[in-house]
Amino acid sequence: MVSVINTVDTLHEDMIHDAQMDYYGLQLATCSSDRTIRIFEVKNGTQRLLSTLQGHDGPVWQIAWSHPKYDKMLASCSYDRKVIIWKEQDGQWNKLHEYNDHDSSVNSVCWAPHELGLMLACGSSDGSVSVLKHHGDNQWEATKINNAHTGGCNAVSWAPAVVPGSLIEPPSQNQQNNFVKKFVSAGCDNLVKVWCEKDGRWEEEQKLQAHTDWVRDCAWAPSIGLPQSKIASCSQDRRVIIWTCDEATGGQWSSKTLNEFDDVVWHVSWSLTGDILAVSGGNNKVSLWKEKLDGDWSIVSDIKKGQQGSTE
Amino acid sequence: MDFRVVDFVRNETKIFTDSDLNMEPPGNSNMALAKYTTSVNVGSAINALSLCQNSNKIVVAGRALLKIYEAEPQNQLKEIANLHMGRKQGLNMSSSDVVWSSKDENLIATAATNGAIVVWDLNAVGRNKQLAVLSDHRRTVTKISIHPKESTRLLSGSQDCTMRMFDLRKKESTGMFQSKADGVRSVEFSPFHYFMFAASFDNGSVQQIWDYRQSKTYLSQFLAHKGSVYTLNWHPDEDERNKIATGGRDNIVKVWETGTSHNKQISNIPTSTSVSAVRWRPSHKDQLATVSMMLDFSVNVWDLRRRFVPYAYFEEHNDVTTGIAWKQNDPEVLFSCSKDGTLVMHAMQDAIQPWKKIKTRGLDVGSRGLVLFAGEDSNIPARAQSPTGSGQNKLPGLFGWGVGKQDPEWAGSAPASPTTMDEIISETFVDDGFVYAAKHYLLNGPENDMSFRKLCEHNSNVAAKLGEFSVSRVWLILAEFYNSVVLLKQKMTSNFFPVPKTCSDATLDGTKRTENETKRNSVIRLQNTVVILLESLSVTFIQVEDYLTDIARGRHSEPDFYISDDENGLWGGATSDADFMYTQEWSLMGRVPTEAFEKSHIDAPSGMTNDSEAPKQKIITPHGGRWYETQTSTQDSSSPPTPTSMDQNSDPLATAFHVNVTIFTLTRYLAESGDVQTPVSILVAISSYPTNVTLEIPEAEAEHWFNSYLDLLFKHELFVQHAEVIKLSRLPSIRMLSSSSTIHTSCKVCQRRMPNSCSWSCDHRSKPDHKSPVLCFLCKKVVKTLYLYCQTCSFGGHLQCMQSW
Repeated sequence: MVSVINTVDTLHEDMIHDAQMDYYGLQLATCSSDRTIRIFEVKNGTQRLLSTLQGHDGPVWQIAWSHPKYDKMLASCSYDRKVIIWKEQDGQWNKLHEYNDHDSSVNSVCWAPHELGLMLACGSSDGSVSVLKHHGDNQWEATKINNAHTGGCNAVSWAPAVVPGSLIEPPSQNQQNNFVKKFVSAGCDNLVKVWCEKDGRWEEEQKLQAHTDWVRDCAWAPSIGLPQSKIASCSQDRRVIIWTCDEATGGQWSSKTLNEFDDVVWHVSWSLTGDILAVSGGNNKVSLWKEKLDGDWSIVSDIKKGQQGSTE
Repeated sequence: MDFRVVDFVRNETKIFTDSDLNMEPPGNSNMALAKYTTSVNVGSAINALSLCQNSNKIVVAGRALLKIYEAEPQNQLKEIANLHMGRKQGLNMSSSDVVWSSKDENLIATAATNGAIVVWDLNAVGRNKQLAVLSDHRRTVTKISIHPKESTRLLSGSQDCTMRMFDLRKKESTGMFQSKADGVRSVEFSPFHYFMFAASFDNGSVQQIWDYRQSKTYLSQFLAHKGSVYTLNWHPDEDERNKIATGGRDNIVKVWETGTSHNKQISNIPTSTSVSAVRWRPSHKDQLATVSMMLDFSVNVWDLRRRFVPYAYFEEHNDVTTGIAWKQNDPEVLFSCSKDGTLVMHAMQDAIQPWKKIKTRGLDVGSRGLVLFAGEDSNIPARAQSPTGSGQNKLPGLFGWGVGKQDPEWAGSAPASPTTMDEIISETFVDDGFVYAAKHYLLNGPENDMSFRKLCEHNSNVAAKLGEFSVSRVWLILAEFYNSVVLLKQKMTSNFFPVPKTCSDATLDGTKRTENETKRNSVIRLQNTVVILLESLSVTFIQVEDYLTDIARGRHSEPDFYISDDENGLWGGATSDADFMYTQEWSLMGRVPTEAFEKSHIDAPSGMTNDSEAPKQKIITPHGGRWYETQTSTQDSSSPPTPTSMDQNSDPLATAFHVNVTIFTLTRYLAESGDVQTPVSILVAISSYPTNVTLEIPEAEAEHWFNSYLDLLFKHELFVQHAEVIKLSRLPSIRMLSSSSTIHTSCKVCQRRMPNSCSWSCDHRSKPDHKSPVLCFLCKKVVKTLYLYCQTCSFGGHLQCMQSW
């Protein structure tokens, strides 16, 4: 089922830290230690370099495409403590906004679900997480959560805007426009934290404790409105943990270890439907996981770079 | 000559290590203790620092400052001397640089901003320890250096564009070197080339290597940086004796391999601010420390193998860091001084190591089942040994410090690394299920002489083969629902599903319970399938499983309901009946689709608000007490909270269950989840039978589905299926697609109107591409009049030909 369809030589001078496909899967953005972001057009198994974005003074850690509703925008964060929002106009990428209110390397950026407007969360090594909100006319309002994670924040991921359970219980009229405004962050304090906005302030809603080492990445699963929320987190302790929260059980999060890997787990990423979890571990391995009926997770596919994927 | 000197140095080093060991009390704990970062405030801004030969004494110099500190074994910095005493302050005291003699522990030289060089003898008796003042330079002396072997040979560089050699015994200048360039920024004796020193300049572009025996001209010079070269440093390791690191205003640290004939840049480190000092880390051939002239107050340690991010950094200072020095016999210790007046002894183990936070791999699951992965190429070997040595590195062997691709700017001579370090692989799930399903779905039941149930079962099998179990279930449900309704011959007219009716009827008559039981079970089964369908669409399989077990348990507990019902007997008959509950749900599902989903309790103990309210309401009812008890008992047996639904809607009319709307909900759900194939196939399949079953789907919406599906079929070149769907569709707008014709009135190339009806080509018929007329694909003759063609495959021709075909 799984095969390597394409290998892109990005011509980056140093290590690549992130690669993201845009909403339509037509363009690929990569960012590298060499301070550049490269944008490729991926078509029919071939790719073409469209542009190289230069502007960061340090390795670029992560990039994020905005929802196409807000034109073609790309947010990037870097070791240089800056977050840059780029915008494409007539094929030209330009710096739209630069946010430099972090005191240390910014490790993660993530756009909020488009229902919430143009909003960006940034997690930094200085332990803080800031949320940038666009107010039109290139006015960006920043809200900073200080000391979100002692020792630094490694990843942020927004919760889907759909209210959990809204598929089953349609929200009543007066809360029709009430979207979920939550995100999850992972840090060097071995914690995963859930934040939610209350009266314009971000408050820590949950502290999820199970990892025994730095949490490298976290990802909130996309949802169509089922009552269950899912978060995947992966850590230096070589484990991937799936956190689930059921509205019915009173919003308590329960953890389940997906698997203990042989090596550090770097990234977790959900498929668009939220049913398949891709896990990238050491040794260039990517494995895909699917939840079985009994609640256990089984490996769907195990891909090692340069190999044909083996399927169960 | 050279060789002997080297030998000598070796012995010396040995002696130092011995003395070092003697100095420090034995024992590991003390060794570890000696490596903690510690700092001391000297009172005023520090411009420079220098270590004495065995690195346990540090001299710091500033505008009105000259103090000596001793690094004690107990990890403390203690002031042992303050040379800035008395009233004789003057400009000579404003030191821009300080250097400790290499061999003589009592000899210190400071360079002043007014051009004077002051030599100090620490052994001198009395308060005035100044040995000599050398004021040969006319402008600020920027840097001084004492020969590593001859402790009385001092070299200075000044803004007056000259470098001078001094003999400290004679206390006079013995030589002068004209830079012929610009102000001198830095000078430094080579630690291993006895006669060699390097100098860097303000105009930046030139870096010179001199042999001090030839004062006329330099050995070589080369372009180093854009703008001033603020600093240079020879590598302190003998194996790397030809390496020089330079740093300048252009924010780049460059590493040069100096040779007799030419000097070659071998690496560079792009930092983010201008570099004011660079110092190689002893016994680490690829590491160096830098400090910045402005903005960045941290001390960065870089590794040439990872050029873009510091290997480690220290953030103790809160003003510009002016000087750094590695402890010579212990590369784990770094001293730094700053304008904030602190002298810090850093321990490498306390450094912040940003690369530990680096994610070396990128991962993204994109649309269309694409998995993106970015990582290093595995054929670049990971470094076997962690750069700091074992113990400090949390992930040995994992963090591959692979060799980066060489900078194209200077990759010419060096063989370019053949590996593509950074590659992105995309994986995709091969998905041709669509085509398969489109080809194998049977849509026209009557034509194949199949009953609707058979057709549905066939299609269900097709879906099951593709692994689309949810779709497969949909077909089965469809068969279940419509089997009695959709017949080969038109018989039924009722749109209502009969089962619920019987159910509610049955509940009024307790004697029919056994018969009822089976029907209820079938309803439960149906519900199972629906729920499974919904669940699997939302792909949370765990819940399905949970739910199944719940259902199973729920079944066991249902008799309890009956008993309680019978006992109470007054609860409005149908309202408390389990069967009714189900019909209730169905009706809800039919009427208020989304709410019905809620009632189908995907999660057993769903957190709906009415859940908590329900028991209260029940208590209020006349029979509440007992009823409530049974209620809780059933809930304890983890029965789904179905009973709650009855309180809100006890309207008996609700029992009328509208299947069509349910199917509509399903199809719409499928369509919204991105699958138009199934809804359209269902619609077509139903409409292929001569029934008057109509799904209350808004025409526009259905038309949209059809158009999308037709479009997809067309794209996959499934023309036959395309035509079949059009044919079987009941939507007038879709059917219209198959019954249109075109008369060519213009040239098909240039869109120009045909001159007259007799002509079959436009005026540009001389041009070759305008010449080709519209040909009938059957008789291959030019179609001059009515051109009839298939909208799908666009083949067409004469009306007559078409008709005969």
